[in-house]
Amino acid sequence: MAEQDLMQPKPGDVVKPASPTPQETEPSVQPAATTPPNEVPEVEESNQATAAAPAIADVAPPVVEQEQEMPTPPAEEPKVAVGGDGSQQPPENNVAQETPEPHKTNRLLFMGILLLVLLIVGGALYLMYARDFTSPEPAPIETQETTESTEPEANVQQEDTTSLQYLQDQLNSLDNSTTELTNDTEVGTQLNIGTSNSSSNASEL
Amino acid sequence: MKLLSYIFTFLLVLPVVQVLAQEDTSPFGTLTDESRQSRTVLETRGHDTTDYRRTLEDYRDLNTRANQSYGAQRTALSEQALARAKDVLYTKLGAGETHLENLIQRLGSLNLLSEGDRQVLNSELSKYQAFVNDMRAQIDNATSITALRGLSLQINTAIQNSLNIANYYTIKLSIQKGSAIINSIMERAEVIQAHINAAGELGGDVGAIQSNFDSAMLTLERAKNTYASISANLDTLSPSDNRAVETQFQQIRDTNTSVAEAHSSLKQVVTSLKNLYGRSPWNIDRASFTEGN
Repeated sequence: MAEQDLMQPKPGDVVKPASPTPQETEPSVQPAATTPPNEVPEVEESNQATAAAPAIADVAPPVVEQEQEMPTPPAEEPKVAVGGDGSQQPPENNVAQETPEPHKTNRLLFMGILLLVLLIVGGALYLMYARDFTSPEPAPIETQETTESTEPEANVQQEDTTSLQYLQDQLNSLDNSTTELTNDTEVGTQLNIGTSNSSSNASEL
Repeated sequence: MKLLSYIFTFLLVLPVVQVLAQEDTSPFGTLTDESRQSRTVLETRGHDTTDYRRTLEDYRDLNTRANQSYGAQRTALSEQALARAKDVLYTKLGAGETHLENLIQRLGSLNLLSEGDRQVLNSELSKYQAFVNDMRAQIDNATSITALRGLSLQINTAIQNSLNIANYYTIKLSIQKGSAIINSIMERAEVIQAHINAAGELGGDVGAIQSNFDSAMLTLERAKNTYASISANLDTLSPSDNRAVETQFQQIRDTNTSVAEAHSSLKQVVTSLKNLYGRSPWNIDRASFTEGN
């Protein structure tokens, strides 16, 4: 109450504009050690309220700045802002003191969504790679088969036309010829037209 | 925040879309499969028996599903089956034409065609191609499977008539090719027998291998004689002697099959010898074989 009384304009005082002058606002942001000699630190304002009453009443500093720089007990904090005409401002103005809360909520929400996206992307990548790993690539089997097929002929020269490998290659090279030989005489059967002189009486449809 | 929600939704939907895109078949049934509503075979030329059999299998699958369905799906599947049945006849016509063309080309490359033979075969090919052109229009105008069945029987008769002429030359071709295969195998017979003997001397169990080898060689020997016999008979026939040519053709079919079976049996003999050799290698007198090979 004493502080409010000090802040109320007295008769005969000149009411200055609400916006503070540079000299008046600097003490609220400058450290105490660097405060110029012609400025009065706000910490001392509360202790020397009687002596500096006219100057403080002219300033009407923002409530937030007082709260940051005056770590006094809550009961002594001027939570009720005073307007330029000395009247108390409505409680709605105090909402500004709690503005950091929505920012924290948005930040947490953003971090949560980001984490979720990273989890989904990571999971998708893991599944893609896991599917590749489990695909039936028979690379080791191929190596094993190659080893098995060449093992019996390890002591035989490649040019040896009497080797079993050479004989096998020669017989395999006849595969296409024997297939063609049998297909030449199976065209009628494959086209379902019958194999005798009379054509088939049954349609394939 | 809106942008983040869009990204989040996109990342959720993307894997689902990718999985659906990888599916070859639609999970929503065949009614949406519009690609099968129309014809896939638009030309007869260039098709062979493999194309024909694949198309026929596709048609039978569609026809079976049409018979098992009802309502709108049955109608849709029936239309698809009709389109595929036309494809079957198209590929059948094409396969017959391809067979004739290949026969002429192969006989020519082997110098098995006289000028008179070439004229006979080219004449037969032209006749068949005229039939194909006529039949294509009838196939296109057909509106039911029943109508296509009737056309299929006409195609059978036409192809059979052409084959009766072509079979005379197919016999010649088979004798040439079959005899070459037999000679190629018999050139290796002594070496194979030497390996069997060497494996037996080392204590290997070669009883079954020797039996299979003997059976295959006897088959090839008989086939060789049959080819010679048929070749002699063919000299007394002309392509238009349908009945007599057909008798020779049946013999050549059986002989070709026996040659293919003997070849397969000998491949198994060599594979068995390689297995024995891997466990206990042996040596043969290679000097006595290298000259002939």
